[in-house]
Amino acid sequence: MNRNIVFACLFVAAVVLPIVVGDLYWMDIFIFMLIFTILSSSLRLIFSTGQISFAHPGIAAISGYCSGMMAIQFGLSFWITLPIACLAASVVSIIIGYPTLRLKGVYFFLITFMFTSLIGVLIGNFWIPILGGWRGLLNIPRPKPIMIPYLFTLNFNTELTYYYLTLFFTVITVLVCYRIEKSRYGLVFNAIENADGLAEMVGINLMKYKLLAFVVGGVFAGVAGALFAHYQRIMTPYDFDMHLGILLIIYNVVGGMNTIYGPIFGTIFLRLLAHPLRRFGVYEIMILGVILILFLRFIPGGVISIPERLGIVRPKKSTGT
Amino acid sequence: MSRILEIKKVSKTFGGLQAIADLDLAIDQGEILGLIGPNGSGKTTFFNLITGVYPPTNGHIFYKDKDITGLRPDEICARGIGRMFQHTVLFSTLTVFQNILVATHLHSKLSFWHSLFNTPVHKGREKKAELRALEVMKFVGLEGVKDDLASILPHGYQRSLGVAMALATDPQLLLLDEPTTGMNREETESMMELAKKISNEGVTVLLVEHNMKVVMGICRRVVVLNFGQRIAEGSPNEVSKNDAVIQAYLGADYAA
Amino acid sequence: MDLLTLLQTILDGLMISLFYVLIALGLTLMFGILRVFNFAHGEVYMMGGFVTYYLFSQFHINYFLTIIACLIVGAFLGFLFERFIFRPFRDRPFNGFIASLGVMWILQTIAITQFGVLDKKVPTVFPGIIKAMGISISAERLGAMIIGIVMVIGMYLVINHTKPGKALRAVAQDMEAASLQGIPVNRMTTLAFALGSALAAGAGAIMSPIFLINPYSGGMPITKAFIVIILGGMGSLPGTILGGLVLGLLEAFTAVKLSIGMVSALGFGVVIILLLVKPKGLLGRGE
Repeated sequence: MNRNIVFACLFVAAVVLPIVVGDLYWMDIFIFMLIFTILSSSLRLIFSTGQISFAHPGIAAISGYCSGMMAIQFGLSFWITLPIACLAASVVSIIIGYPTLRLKGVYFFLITFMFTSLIGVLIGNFWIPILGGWRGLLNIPRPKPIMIPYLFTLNFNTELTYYYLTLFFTVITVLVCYRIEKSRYGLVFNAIENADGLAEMVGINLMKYKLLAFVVGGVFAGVAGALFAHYQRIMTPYDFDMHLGILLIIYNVVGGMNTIYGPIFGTIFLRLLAHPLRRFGVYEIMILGVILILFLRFIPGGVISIPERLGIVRPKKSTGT
Repeated sequence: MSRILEIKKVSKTFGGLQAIADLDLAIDQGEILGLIGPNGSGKTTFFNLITGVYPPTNGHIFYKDKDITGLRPDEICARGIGRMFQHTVLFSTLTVFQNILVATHLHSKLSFWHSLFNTPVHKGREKKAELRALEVMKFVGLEGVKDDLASILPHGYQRSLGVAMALATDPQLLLLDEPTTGMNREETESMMELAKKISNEGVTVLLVEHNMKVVMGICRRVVVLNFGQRIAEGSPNEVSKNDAVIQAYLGADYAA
Repeated sequence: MDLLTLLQTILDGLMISLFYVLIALGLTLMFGILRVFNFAHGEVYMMGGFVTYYLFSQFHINYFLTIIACLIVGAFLGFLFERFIFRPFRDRPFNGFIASLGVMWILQTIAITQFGVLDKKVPTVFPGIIKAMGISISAERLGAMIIGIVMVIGMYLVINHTKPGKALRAVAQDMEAASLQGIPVNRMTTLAFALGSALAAGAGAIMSPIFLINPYSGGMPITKAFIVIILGGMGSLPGTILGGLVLGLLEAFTAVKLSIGMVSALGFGVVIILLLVKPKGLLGRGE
């Protein structure tokens, strides 16, 4: 219950944030923070079944390019391209998940790494007239305005409105991941991660559950990809590459992979930290690398686990959380 | 008495090593069958074959007259074969109750959309699953440690939890792999009582054991394996006097 | 394709293969013992390239001494990786693997700050072009190939004909059994890392006159090396060499018709399919 209160406070803070810090510079930062929160939370869902995946950037790229490309080529609005892009993301997830999820550990990581690399190469080198090659897909339109008759028109050309749009999807992502984790699905995923041989022996179909986590995670990666594309209005293969994959892992490790709260805090914490860190310029990734190593070694439960370790909070007798 | 499990000409080779050689075995419904043999005689491999951890190199396994050769472990479990592992394998980050709850999986439906929206249907199913888990916990005697993490349980309780999880799958055939390893006299007797209790519920029990007292105490029939082959079969008394059996064990000590 | 072009393509392919094999052998050595590898391995190659640039090109030190310096630097880096990154994660090697992603970023940053972001060109060591029987190869590439082959043979000799090498193979086969026989597992792991990283740095030394070097030069070799070890079967040394040959020749032959992008994509595609159909690779032990 304690954590849910913090969670609720965070949500309220997020809603009133633009009133407090409304300038464009920060709005831009917050929008990306939310998009990355969607990515790291949905990735964590996949991690919770014991599969450390590097496919997320590739799936987000497919979805973002799909949505952007359809908006440009066919003039469709975001509201239509988003579901289609998410559908594409889920289909891709099923296609790559089904044969690969039976692999684990390094093998699974490598094959998902190959997938993300392949997607980058494909986007950069093929169908250049439609996808834009290495230079990128340009002039992706913002979502078309929503008109509520006789009241007002909501357009998404400003950071402010896009922020709330992104916040909306972030809340959905987090709620879905939260519900899954809290339900018996969370226990089953935990069991699969912990001792999959035993899980099978008590009747759990491993592939079914791993695939479920992988596809749900992939759909939200798709949401993030589309949000990214229509915000930045430019997409390049460099936006969803190895760098992103490592960043998402770091957000999860530093935040804590055991619960949904972990990647949320990890993403917020590290992305806020990035701004003072920017002063160090090129050292930024070195510092992140050092943080990753230190956390893996000394605080493997992430920032979230620190209150428990210091004895401030009683360890929860968990009911799936 | 019908046969619940039939092993027909089953072999298993790993690389160059033959773990099980041309084995024939039948288990009758309702009995408690003991499986003994020196270390390395293939007992655990045998269990792994039955529960689908890997398929046999040759031969077939029939459960209730249906061929289950080559099925996945979760499919075999769904058909009614439950297993308790030799080494203590538990879900270490979950509590005792949660461990058993996970094991009720086959008998409590879990649906994505109902879970997502926490519908009354979902809540009803969860209540049912929890009741079932509580029932199993009481049967095995673990209510006292309901919310303890599985990893911190004393050894004897961990073994009981293993049995509880196997029971939660509602098996008609239960495989127990050396359940009394590492137990003292009291705990061993508790386990024997539990095994008898399970058998009285109508569950067929296949028991692998090193502890001869346990085998003598609760098994009506005993099969002896050595080098992956059956070398003797009969009542515990008959088997203990069998020359081949004595020879197989010569030099090996077993705690009794 | 006529015979001459065929031979020329094969020659080009062999050179690429050698390059990939030099990097991949190190990964295989590490995987053989720990069942994971060092993601920063590509950066060792990159460091070898920079050491060569500074020693050979800036300080005019003899090329062969430079190569030896690279081998030593590589071995030292390997020692550091094993001792400070992988050994602390001995009970959960996969975490060491993830940690090495951080090491990769650390090394890249060091390179950026010390050497600058721009490409560095190491001047040609062996000038001229050698022509024989209608096919030609630059003396530089030929020289690189010869030195590279010498390195591979050297490693082969160490692994198969020296006492430490045999001990290493024992540990790779069965760590517990080897340890019970008194083989110092920790030291053997360090050896594997040192040997493997030395090879990568050596590859940096011989390839830097041919390719340009910049702080991001490590990315391509390690990606190719992953493809090679998956093709050949993770953990198998002969398999790695076979995988390298397959990939290098495949790339050389497809480069005739396809663009670079397509060639890369093909490599990825082939390995993804292979991993699904035959997870043990062409020769390997898999898991």
